[in-house]
Amino acid sequence: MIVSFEAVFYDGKTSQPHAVRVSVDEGGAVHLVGDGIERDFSPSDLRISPRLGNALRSISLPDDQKIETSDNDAVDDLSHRAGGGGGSRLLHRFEGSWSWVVGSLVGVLVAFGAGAVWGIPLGARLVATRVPDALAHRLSIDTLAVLDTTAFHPSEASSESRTRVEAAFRRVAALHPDLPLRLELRKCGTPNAFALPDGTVVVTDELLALAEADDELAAVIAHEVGHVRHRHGLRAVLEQSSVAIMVGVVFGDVGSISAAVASLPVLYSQAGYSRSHEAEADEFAVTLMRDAGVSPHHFATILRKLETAAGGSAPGPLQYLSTHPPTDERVAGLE
Amino acid sequence: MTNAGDAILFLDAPANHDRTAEGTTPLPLSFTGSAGEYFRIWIVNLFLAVITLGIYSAWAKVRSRQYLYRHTWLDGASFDYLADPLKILKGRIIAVTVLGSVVFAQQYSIALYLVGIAVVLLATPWVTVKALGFNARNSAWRNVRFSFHGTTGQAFLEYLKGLGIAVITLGIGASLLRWRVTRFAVVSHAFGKLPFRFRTTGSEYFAAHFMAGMVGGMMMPLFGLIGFFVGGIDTESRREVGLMVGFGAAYFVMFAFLKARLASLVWGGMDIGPHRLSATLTFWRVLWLQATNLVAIACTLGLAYPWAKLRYHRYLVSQITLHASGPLFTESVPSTNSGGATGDALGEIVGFDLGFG
Repeated sequence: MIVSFEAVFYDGKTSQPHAVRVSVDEGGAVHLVGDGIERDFSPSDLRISPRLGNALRSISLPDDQKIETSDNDAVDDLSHRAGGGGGSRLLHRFEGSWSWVVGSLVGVLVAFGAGAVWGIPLGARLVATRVPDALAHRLSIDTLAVLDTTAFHPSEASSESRTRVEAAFRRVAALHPDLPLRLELRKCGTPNAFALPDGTVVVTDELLALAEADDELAAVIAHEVGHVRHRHGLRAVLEQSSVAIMVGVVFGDVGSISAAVASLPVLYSQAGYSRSHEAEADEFAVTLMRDAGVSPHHFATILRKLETAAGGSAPGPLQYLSTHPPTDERVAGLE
Repeated sequence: MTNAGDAILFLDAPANHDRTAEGTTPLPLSFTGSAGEYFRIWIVNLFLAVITLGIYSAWAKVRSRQYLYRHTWLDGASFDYLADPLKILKGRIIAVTVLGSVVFAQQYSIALYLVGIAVVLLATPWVTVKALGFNARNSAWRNVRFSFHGTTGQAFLEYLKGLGIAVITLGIGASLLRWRVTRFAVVSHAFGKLPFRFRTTGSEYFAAHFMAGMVGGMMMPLFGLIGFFVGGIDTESRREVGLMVGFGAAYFVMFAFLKARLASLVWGGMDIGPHRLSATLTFWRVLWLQATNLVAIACTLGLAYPWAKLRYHRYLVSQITLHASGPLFTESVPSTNSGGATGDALGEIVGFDLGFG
């Protein structure tokens, strides 16, 4: 007899526990005695569950019989003798070793950090450039239709301001005949402009009222053309769903309360991706404005006006949840 | 209560425990896991899941669940989780494929997406039954497995009746839908040959939701106003943010109230054969746990998740007591149905919450 330990035996028919003493011989054969029970098992009869910290360990026997014990070291020894259990022991050693824990922690942080900072934007860019135009068009039509029934009203702009914005649009669009650009006007309550993936640029009546100089309109449209050129609409959709999937994988079985917490990284990363898209569109707009003969200070002017109209910039920590870079930063970049 | 050698202490239980007036023996559940150990297991397994591109996640799930089960004790014996990771992996692959197709359809056409959503919703009873069944069959205590005998047809009827009540009462009776589904889930379980029963009534469920609504109704204007003024007198956008944060906080309080109440009603309403469960979770304790968990998870970029999860589990378990009317004895029933894990995986992704948490 080499190893011996106390255990509880279950006969596989009832929940009745039987205290037994387990003895293991040289070759891993097992002998149980106690409580009117005496049984022998060969090493091939045993299915030893992997060690999990110091939790109660079970050994499955034929006919649903089972022994449970808290003597994990003895079971490790038995498992070694019975041949096998190497993977289980290795995993237990990893989970118990601080260097593995710290290594895993660093590995996980690096993997998710790199994935979020480079991997997802890169993947989204690659996929977005391969999305067929027909699909982008379909998506844009659906999006605009939803917005039209919820947030938008038909434009009430005067024919004079219409002519102004159309002229500004033509000036910018003429420099990009490769893009299927199209202008739409809507009324929605706040000064805004945005681009849909298929090249539709939507400008609101309120923005027309806010922009005093025609060049200010041209600057905003140039920025929106930047979004179209870089396929930001599709990229944003792809990036957001990738983060949501990633979060889902990590917090696989979250309850509903933690779901609120799990949405935090999604919000933060969405805002982060959006800010980098805005910066990219600004950069594009500056080049385009230069080609169109529009001075960048018009862009700075309209950005300031938009900030004032939105009620000032967000307070400190909330900037990380903001979808646009701070206006000061953007204006500084222009100057 | 448990360390080495404790595994055999229960042999003379429950006879040695104090008996109460009704002749039952109170056997409290307890939890002996440690947050540090659970974190180590979680992070190592998460790392392995990442470097195997998610394949190992099935093994990781089994291991993390086994940790919780095996450290949850009743009458000197711990629970065990016996699921086969390969089955979970297969289920996850199918579930991701199905849901991926629905998401893809959403990009392609709204109509196709709506059809996909309708199919997923119609499949809810099936997913409920499969997920509960898989979990029950793979949960055991003293070498006897739980089982689940509910059918998709029964689940479908419960959903249909519950939805009918909810629609007729213009949503006021929506809590009764939840009650019906939970009752169905509970009474379809058995432990060995001991059937489960559910004492909690629909009106108790309704009252819990009504009270939660009252709590929310009082908190919303109060917290909203506080947020509005604290947010800033100077700018409109800050006020809006303040208002939203205030509403969020009020919702959070309401949610904690409902969670505490429902967990008590669900766990405390169960009978297992001749034995009775009781559970008393208090609102303040649940609110405190949830709020601190939220802050900890947010501040550590999610790394506090295993700690938070274990903390809540420990509290939940410590509040549940089994009132045994005699020795906890049952015969095991040979498992006839060994279905796959697709429903379990779908339920996990779509996110079921029957209030067991």
